Amino acid sequence: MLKIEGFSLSRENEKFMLINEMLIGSSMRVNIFGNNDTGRSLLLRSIHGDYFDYGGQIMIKDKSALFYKKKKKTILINNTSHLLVNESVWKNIIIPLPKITARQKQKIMELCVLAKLGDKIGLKVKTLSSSSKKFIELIRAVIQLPQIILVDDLENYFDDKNMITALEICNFALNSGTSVIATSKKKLDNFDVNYRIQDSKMVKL
Amino acid sequence: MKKGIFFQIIVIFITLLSWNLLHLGYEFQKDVFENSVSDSQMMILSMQENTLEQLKSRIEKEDYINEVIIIQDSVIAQTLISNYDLDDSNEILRSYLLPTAMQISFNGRKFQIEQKLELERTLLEYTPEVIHYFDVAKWQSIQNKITILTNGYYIAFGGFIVFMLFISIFFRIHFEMKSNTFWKIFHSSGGHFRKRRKQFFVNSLYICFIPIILNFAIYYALKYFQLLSVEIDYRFFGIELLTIIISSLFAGLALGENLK
Repeated sequence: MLKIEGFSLSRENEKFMLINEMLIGSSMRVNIFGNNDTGRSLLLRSIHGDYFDYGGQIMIKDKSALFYKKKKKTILINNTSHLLVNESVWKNIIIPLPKITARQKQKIMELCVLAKLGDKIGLKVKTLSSSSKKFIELIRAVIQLPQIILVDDLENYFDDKNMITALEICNFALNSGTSVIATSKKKLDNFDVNYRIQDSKMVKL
Repeated sequence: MKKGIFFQIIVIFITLLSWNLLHLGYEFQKDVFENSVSDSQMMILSMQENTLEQLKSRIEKEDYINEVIIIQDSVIAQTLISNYDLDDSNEILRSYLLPTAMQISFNGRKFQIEQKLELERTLLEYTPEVIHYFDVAKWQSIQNKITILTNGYYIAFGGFIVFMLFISIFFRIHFEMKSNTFWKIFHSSGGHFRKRRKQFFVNSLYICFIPIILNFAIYYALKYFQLLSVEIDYRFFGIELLTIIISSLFAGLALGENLK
């Protein structure tokens, strides 16, 4: 599904984050880990079609990532909060959905219960913890079944227990062919593939 | 429908209502003045009935003339006798040679300065066989009032266009900018890329058509139940609609990149 070839990021004429080839199929959980300033966030933004100053090619289903920028086939969850804090949990989850089917409604409720948001569905987002807020963003992404969900610094939002819950939430989309790419500072468990950024290069473990 | 759009529809509806009231008020007052012109008749006297007949056939087809009536001298004598109770002097009065009269009533809407000059030129050709009586001072006074009323109406009309453009563009931009955060989150959460532009277009349709349709419905209902004596030219609603459409286009242009 995702094919990256000859990818490189540059800073002051110095290339960093080199990827010779990276292939990610459907329904895969991929963890990319490495230290700070290794270009993890820029890689996700490049896949998302938000960052263009890179070398090489990023193809999603044989089309460039930019092709999908307008079609929103990828959803990026990063450190910035993308929530309407004065609106309810429910309202925030359904923002991008043009119509909510009964199945989607039921699935949202199930995922909210899983994330311990079942009894907080009508509460304003500003009253919730930061991990609950990220759960909302994750549920919102998952329910849309995009081709790829990109999560930057996954470990920042969730402790080990919540991490398991987050991956369970992702399973709903994974079962429909969505892949999840999450970055972190350290290697995360329960992922199908782990990549490490080492000496400016991406290495598959 | 969002509160912002609802608010804009209400404001535009009220503005259009005031605009229509201005128009109706103008038409109503103009009708009053024009009826006063219609009520002022011109009386033409001549000793020769043939001359009046010729004059009548020449002017009666003019669109600024409502009616031309020739009153025979015998009828005049009879009128004088009955009006002034001159039964005793009936024979004496009959012995006088009275002129034949012609009474002209005008179409107040069309009898303006040019038409008056045209009529006077025609009458001049028949002078001295005919003499005419017309309250020129009253007619002139009414014409002056109509001119002042019309000028005031045009100024207020222009004012309404400017006001309508200003408030609708201002409110449109204000509410769109206010929703920027929502749309930013909408896009980043995976919402459809063109949804905002589409929503702007749909909202424009609501804002353009709902207030106009409501105003038109009120006008039509008043006409239907015969509660309104004056009429509004349908093109006037077209001008109102055009003004709101232009304001939406301007707001769209001003928002530019924000709508993406």
